[in-house]
Amino acid sequence: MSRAAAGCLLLALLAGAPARAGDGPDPAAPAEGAAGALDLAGRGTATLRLLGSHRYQRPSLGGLNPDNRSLDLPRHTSEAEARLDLGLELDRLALAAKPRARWTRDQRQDGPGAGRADGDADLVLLEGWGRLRLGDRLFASFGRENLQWGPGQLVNPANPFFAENGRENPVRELPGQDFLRAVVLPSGAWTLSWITATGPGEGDPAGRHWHPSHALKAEVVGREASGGALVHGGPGAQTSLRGFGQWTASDALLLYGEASATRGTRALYPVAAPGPLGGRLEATRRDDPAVFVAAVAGAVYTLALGPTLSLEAAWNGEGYGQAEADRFFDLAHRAGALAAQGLAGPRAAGPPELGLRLLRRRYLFAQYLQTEIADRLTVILRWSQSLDDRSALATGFGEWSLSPRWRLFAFGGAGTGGNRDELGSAVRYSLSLGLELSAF
Amino acid sequence: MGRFGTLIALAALGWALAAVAGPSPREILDRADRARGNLPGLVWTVTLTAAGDGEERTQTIEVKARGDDVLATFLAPPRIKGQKVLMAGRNMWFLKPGLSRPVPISPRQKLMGEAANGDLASTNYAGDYDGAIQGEEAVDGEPCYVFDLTARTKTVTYDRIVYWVSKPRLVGVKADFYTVSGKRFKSAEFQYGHDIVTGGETIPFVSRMVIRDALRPEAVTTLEYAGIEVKSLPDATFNLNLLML
Repeated sequence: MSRAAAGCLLLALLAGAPARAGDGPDPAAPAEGAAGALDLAGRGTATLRLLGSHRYQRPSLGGLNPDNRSLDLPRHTSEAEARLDLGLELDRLALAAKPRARWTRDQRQDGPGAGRADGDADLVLLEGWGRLRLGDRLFASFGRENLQWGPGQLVNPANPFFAENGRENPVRELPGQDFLRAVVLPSGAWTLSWITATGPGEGDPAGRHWHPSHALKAEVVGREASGGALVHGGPGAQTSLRGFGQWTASDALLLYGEASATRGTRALYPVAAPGPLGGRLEATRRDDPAVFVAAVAGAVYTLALGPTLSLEAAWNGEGYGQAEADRFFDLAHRAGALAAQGLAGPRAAGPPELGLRLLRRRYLFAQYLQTEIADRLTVILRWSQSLDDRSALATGFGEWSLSPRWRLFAFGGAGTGGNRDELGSAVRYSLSLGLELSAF
Repeated sequence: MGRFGTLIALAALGWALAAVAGPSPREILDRADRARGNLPGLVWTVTLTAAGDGEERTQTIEVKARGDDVLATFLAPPRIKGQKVLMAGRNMWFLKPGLSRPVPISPRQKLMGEAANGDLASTNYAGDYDGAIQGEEAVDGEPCYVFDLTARTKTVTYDRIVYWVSKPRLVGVKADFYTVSGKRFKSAEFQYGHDIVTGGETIPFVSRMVIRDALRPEAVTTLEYAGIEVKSLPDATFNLNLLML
């Protein structure tokens, strides 16, 4: 969806969407969705949240980022954001828009940029789509969506479109991509979806790593279990088979799993090459006949006293083995050395996109979640452990409800890895503190 | 009396005995379930008020229910407005604006105060529990059947329930909830101030549920039901792929 089209959609929504809170169901409506197209009462939703936060982070200044010359990371970042969510559901048409206005200010304390402060203001359409009901069981939609599925917590190999699932930091929102989607409901239990990725959205506006692709997905929901399978492919993607499932084993225990299998991979691997770095990153396994498998299996248990504990194991078949990891970090350290000599500047586009969701192959993940502590505090503690290089990342999130409209939140993370490890090699630790006002 | 006449007489006797004996325990539970939402299509608004430690907190939730399927949308306070809980059978997901994807949750996870996610669901004790009438007892002067119910599967919210069902009204008026170890940890009382028409019949519908913590009597969560509407709800209402956040 173009920005102009998104703007029109937004204007239409603003013109016709009364707030939902306080509106009761329409007693004249005999069936859901049967009201006239001009009857907007109770069919629109609007929420506005205003956030302000400050983050402090301590960059790792070793061989990968000597004197902060490679990554040029700020120490302090202040952010303010207005998050407007609009929705409208008419007889056959549903519209949604999530415009975001952001202001960011970075301050550096390390390296050549020490003392420099940069500000940035941005207006983006995080999501914006329209959906048409073509019959009781057929729906078609077009626009920007954040299409996420799969029960995995560390990664979701069953989702070919989004590498991130946004669960690490509950405050940060992931931008949507542009999709054309058709959904068929053959029965109450089954759902078939055809999904075509038509644009990179705000997440990758330059479209550097985005390619058009398609997926056909079938899902089923039983009484105690649910799951799905899909095939994904296209001119810019290897054909892959993916699946996910979850089982409510008891009122307290959930078991789940996800997997993907792809013949060949477009991920980049380090290879020797002439030049100052002595190597480069290449998609050497694009035509590899081998099948690369990624899988996640996990369990979630809620204790009678309230806390919910999660444990998950992940296998990333595309990830680097020890020799590849050694070559990769050799390459990264040589790039860092060139930066230290002033022969290379910080990468304007950030670290290279490797096409990998996880760098290595074997991981463990654990999470502690407790909501409603003293009726107002939510705590999430996460531990991600690479079993290959032994590095780990600990993150914590806390949310304190100050009033019906105000909440205080904090997010922190610390990595244990050294400068040849995956987790913690770029940022030693970080801490964010913020406040959110739900205006309406 | 000929053979045909004997058969008619026996059938008539059987019908008369059944009428005198009244509904079976399963029928009683089924009737009580209907008064707590187990119907083909209902929409209502529930206001949860959690009291304890000298403070009260309130949430307002719109509930769309169709048999085992429930979509709960949080309307207030503004801080949680737009959050949803989708239940399809015993599968449950939590959806939150800003959170990128549906998070699978268990029925036991806490909603607010003493209420668990499972407490939002319409009640299906007739389908989910085994048990029989253990006796009769008056609750606030009203004669009641006392059921001792044991969960048929481990996926329901409570392992064992002692359930008082009014004899004249066939609605559940009181329940004690027990852990696997046999310890009572919650109790609930129900009031039925609403009438709804379904299948051409007017039946009572729950208007108030009060949940008390057995160990902390001061911790009380009240669910007030309003805006009850019998409504046909399509499959799309309960489909994760079509929810608007």
